[in-house]
Amino acid sequence: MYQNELLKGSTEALLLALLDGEAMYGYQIVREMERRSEGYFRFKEGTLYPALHRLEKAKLVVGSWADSATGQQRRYYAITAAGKRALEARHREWQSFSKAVSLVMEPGS
Amino acid sequence: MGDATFRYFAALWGSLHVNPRTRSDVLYEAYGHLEERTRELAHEGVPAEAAEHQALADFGDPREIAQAYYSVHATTQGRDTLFAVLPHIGIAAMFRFHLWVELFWVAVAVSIAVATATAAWRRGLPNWTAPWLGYALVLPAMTWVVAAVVVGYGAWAFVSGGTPPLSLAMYVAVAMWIPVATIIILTIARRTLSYDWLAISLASLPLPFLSAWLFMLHWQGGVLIPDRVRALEMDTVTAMVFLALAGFTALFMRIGRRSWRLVLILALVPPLAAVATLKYHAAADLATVVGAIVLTAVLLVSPVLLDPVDRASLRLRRRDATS
Repeated sequence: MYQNELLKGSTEALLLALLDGEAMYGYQIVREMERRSEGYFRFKEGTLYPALHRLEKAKLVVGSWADSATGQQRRYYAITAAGKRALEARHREWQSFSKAVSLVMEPGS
Repeated sequence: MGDATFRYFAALWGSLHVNPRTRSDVLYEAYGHLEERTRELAHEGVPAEAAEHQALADFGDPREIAQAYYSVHATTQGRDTLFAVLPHIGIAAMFRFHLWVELFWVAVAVSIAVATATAAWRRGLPNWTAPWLGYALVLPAMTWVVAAVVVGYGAWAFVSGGTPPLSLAMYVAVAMWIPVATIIILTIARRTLSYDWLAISLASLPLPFLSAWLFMLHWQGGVLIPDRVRALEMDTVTAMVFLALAGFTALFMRIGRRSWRLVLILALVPPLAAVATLKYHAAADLATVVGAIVLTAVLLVSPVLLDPVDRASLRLRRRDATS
């Protein structure tokens, strides 16, 4: 439950981070998210797409149809310059937040 | 992909109230995902049917996904919201500065609405289209209302032995205009906003208020030669009504849930029609006010009959309930 809430608040930042390296299509993003998080982030896969469309509407990513490695048409999402700036800002926010949480929850460390 | 996938996509399609271009992208994208996931599960040794069900379960509830898309694609912010409220503000200005008495300004306003609605259609029907389309169709819609009243009044005069309002030839011409205007309005509404009947309701917003205003002119001495002093006095009230519609539209466009949009439209617009009726006709009795509320509510909900998506969704739910 708590994990879901955390994920909900971070989905867009995580998607931007995943797309920062290369353009990917939805299914590829789901698998990459699972791989990088070592299976920690699991969610209803269909909810990923509205989140991608929200990022696209905000012009943080851009989507375009192209052939995948298997020859099928897939919609690839690529991060934009505005998306990179948003990612940097969210990354800084996350670092401050996680540092503050650590200070409170692990006072001796 | 088997029957389960077909039913899943029927449910997704039936709940997806986004414009046709986006809907096509969404369905194609979802299909590609499910196809790849099913294939992957099959490679892992999961039997075909179980793999299909697993892939669908992993993808999530189609109605929840459709709602998430709606909250992304049906809402507007910033410039788009401004664009959506602009026609109501323009009409409010026409009343505030009494421009409606000049045919030139009326023609300019209708031309701008038609040109903007056409441009919106060419750009793939962005969310701000509905209010512009409403004003673009204002001529056939208003003449439909007037023709319906004239035909009704003529029928009543015929039955009661009173004086017919028009000559027989004119009466027939007016009666024939009703189906023609209906076809024009329905054809355009079906080709543009039928993916979401609430968008047609949004386009219909000015109709009850312009009708009430037109009848006020009629009762004050005729549409063509109105009691202009009294009508001009009412212009500030009418301008306020259209500003209220602009505010309502801005709020509507920001809400991402269809059920809340429906509640909002029924909770705010019919009472506003009642207020406008009372302002226009200070002597209006309770039956007139209730009639204004009921007619406005019926008008705003009636576009549901044009929505193939909602009807398909309803049929599917009934089938699910009985199976």
